[in-house]
Amino acid sequence: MTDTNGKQRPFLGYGLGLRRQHYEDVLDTKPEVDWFEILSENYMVDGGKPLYYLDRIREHYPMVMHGVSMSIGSTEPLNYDYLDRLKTLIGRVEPAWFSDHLCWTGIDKLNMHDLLPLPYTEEALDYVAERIAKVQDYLGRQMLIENVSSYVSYNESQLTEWEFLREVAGRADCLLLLDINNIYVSAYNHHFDPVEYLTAMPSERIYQIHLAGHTQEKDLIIDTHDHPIADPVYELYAEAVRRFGRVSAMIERDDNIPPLVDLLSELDRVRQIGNNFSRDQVA
Amino acid sequence: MMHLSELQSRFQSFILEPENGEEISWVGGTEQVPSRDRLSVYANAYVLRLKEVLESDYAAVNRAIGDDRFGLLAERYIRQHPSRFFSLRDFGNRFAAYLGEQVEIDASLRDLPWLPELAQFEWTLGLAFDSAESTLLDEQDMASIPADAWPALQFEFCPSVHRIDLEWNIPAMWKSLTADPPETVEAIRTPGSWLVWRQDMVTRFRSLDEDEWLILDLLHRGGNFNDGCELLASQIGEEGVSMRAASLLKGWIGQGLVADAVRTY
Repeated sequence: MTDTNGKQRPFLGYGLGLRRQHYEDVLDTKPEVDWFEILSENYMVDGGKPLYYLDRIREHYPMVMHGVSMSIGSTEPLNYDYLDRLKTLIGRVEPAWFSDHLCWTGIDKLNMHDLLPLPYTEEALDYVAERIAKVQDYLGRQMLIENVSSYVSYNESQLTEWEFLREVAGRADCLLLLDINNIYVSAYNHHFDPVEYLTAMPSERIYQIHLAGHTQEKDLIIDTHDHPIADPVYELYAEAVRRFGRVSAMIERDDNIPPLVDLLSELDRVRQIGNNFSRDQVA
Repeated sequence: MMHLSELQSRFQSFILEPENGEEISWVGGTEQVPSRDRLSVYANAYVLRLKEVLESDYAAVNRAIGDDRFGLLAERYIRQHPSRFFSLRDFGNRFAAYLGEQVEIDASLRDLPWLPELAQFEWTLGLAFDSAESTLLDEQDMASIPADAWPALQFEFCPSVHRIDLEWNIPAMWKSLTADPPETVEAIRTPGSWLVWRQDMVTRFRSLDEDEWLILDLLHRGGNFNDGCELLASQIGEEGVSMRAASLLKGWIGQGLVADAVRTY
């Protein structure tokens, strides 16, 4: 698989989100995780334990960086103080890549600390694509943009989410972090076919896949990251692997965090699905 | 057509004030899940998320007054001080000051005059936890300073070093409240100064005698060693100065408080 610049898409293998509850275990046991993803904001501090463990774990594992506060879709000006801190962290971690979400997090200088969905309009499309391009210019590298899960749809939307995402990526010439759980959650909440979503994705831009658990409520699914990955999400992941080939994939767990060993066995299942595809290809 | 800025403004207003009664014509709904319920997922998550941050940053305050009272105060703080930070780490930075105001004006909090100090103490521990690393002066460095350089010597303290002045027995309360299982200690008016800092990745605190906090304060403001000795003399008399100064310095070095000693002549 080659990307938009004709390069081979890098494949890091199968990873986990690094969480402080597992710092000591990771260093003591050096688990068979191919790479870790860090939450960028957790390490935008001056010193202490977060950076101490970050540096030590980085010595042993490749890393990617994942942010939640860029607010790329906000009508507020870009926060260059944030981007400078992100740049400093990129310099420290030397990640394979960094990512943030196709969303906005607040206006009027406030932060809702949530990944709020955008309307899928031509106006938003132009606006967001230009902002991503600006960020990529400022940081001097391509970024990965991730699809969020959502509970609302705007009446103004003119495009489907997958059309919007594909167009944004094309116009901004950015890469994609495809969250399979988010596709599943949004498909349920908004009654669309998740496979249609996958079909529309530009395979060459997909550098990373997120998998996570969710919570089924009465008539909505909430993206809580506090459960193991659900079976239908594994099935959708298998479908993604069939379509896109080998993509670096990982598990995000943010709440109700289990022992590392539990996540490792979950990751084994992810690895098995990913590798099955590889064998199919070779055969 | 409603522009992006208008949609974001309405969305954020709903999160901040979900009960504002505005008709929601800009979000689609279904019979099972109407638009208001859909938006409420975000509004509810907003309060829950920020409450969790305060519960974690102010665990001792929470335990001291119980979940119900803490929850009410947290929700009021969340409404009055929405986050202006890119990181949740900073969201609670005004909580101690907020509690200070509330204790003054809210009759139901009159029995908790020590609460703002407990919050301030917890926040200071948090500041020490992830403040910047620095160089550390050791005894060998001190020994290599020539005798004639000492009077004009200035000291730089590590960024994690904070002094906090308390009217109540807050450190004892904090220790008990965060013990496993937590215990309750009666609040007793016990004025004193405390030092909070980080050593070898561990956040520490200890009490300060009056002469020590005075000299630390003077040195922190740029006073030199000679100024410090004069101050000590005024506190404990000339004859004990060299012994006391040496003992204080040895303690500071051993506890990893001093980043550097700067010769100014």
